[in-house]
Amino acid sequence: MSLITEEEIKRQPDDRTRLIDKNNKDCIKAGDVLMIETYTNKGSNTVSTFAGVCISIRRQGIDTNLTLRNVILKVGIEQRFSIYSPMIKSIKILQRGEGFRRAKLFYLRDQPGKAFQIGGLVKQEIIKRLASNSGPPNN
Amino acid sequence: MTALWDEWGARQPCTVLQLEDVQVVQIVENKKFVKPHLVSVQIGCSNKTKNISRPLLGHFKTAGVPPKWKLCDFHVTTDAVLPVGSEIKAAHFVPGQYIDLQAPSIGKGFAGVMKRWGFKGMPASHGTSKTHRSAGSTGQNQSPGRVFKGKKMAGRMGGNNVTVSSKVLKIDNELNLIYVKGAVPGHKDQFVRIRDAVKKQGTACFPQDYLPPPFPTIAPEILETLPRELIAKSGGIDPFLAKES
Repeated sequence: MSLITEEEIKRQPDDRTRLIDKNNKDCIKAGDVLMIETYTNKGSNTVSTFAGVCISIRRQGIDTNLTLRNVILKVGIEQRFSIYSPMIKSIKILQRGEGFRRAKLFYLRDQPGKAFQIGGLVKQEIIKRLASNSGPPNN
Repeated sequence: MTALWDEWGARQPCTVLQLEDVQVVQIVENKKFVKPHLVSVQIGCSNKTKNISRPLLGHFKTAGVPPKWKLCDFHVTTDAVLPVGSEIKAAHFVPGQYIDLQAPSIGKGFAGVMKRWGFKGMPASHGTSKTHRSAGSTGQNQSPGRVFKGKKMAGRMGGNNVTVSSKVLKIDNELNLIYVKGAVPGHKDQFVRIRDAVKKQGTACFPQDYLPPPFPTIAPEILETLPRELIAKSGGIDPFLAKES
């Protein structure tokens, strides 16, 4: 089982594995603010973006997935992304989490506070992209 | 259980099954309780090296086959019979084929009525005394004056044979693996009996591009030419496209 997982991971086009490899010092941890871009369907290049706090990383080999939580227009929204899915275009870390001492941050569902001020970070990211002339992502 | 992504990018949960040293051990014609025109083909799986009883050792010696962990019978027509000792590879199945999987389910022991039959139990408070998870009444009064047979009650749950209909998503020819859609009854590393789907008769069992299927099994010359992995196509339209209203 581990043999086929390793082979599948090696076949991936980019190096997403370094983002979830625990031995890597730059890996994603629970509490980091991430922005994930996904293709809307296989045919087109249109991209949809979701940014949020990573509240859980579920390591299941090729099916490793993480859940992002954000508060949009006063509504809490969680979305789960399978990292090795072909529909995921890119995963970017906007900010590292500090002071989170759990692996799963489900307690944040009861705390509407400071962890969810993500709008500012997304705007910064968009400005960076405009500056580097690659155009803003479609929402 | 893992996942595969099809050509549309949709995630499909799957289970990986391995055909480990699957060989034909015995062929019996005119076996008792088998329909007359069918032949009973006994197939063994996974080589076993120690703790084999002497009768079984003799059984495998007459077949000329290394001793196996598990034996099971399949009743096939006379033209589908394979010679004793021939190995069945993963390419015997075709990606996109409908199959039935049989295995004993996970045993749950003596299960209560809420787990076993989905009864709703009783309120947690409001005066209920010591019967929060019980079944309640088991019948009527003097007429009929007994409990009907088959009344749903607590008892042993699980550990019985379960058949699940499924589909082959992918075949790995080098490691002899079959990726099957969805879940399979039982624990990890358990023996599972795979056969063509009973509810799909004849050619409906196989996808159009893989007709005719390998019969009686994949020919060795064709097996060498096959690529390492054969992946089934989901077909149809892109599920992520918005429907035209």
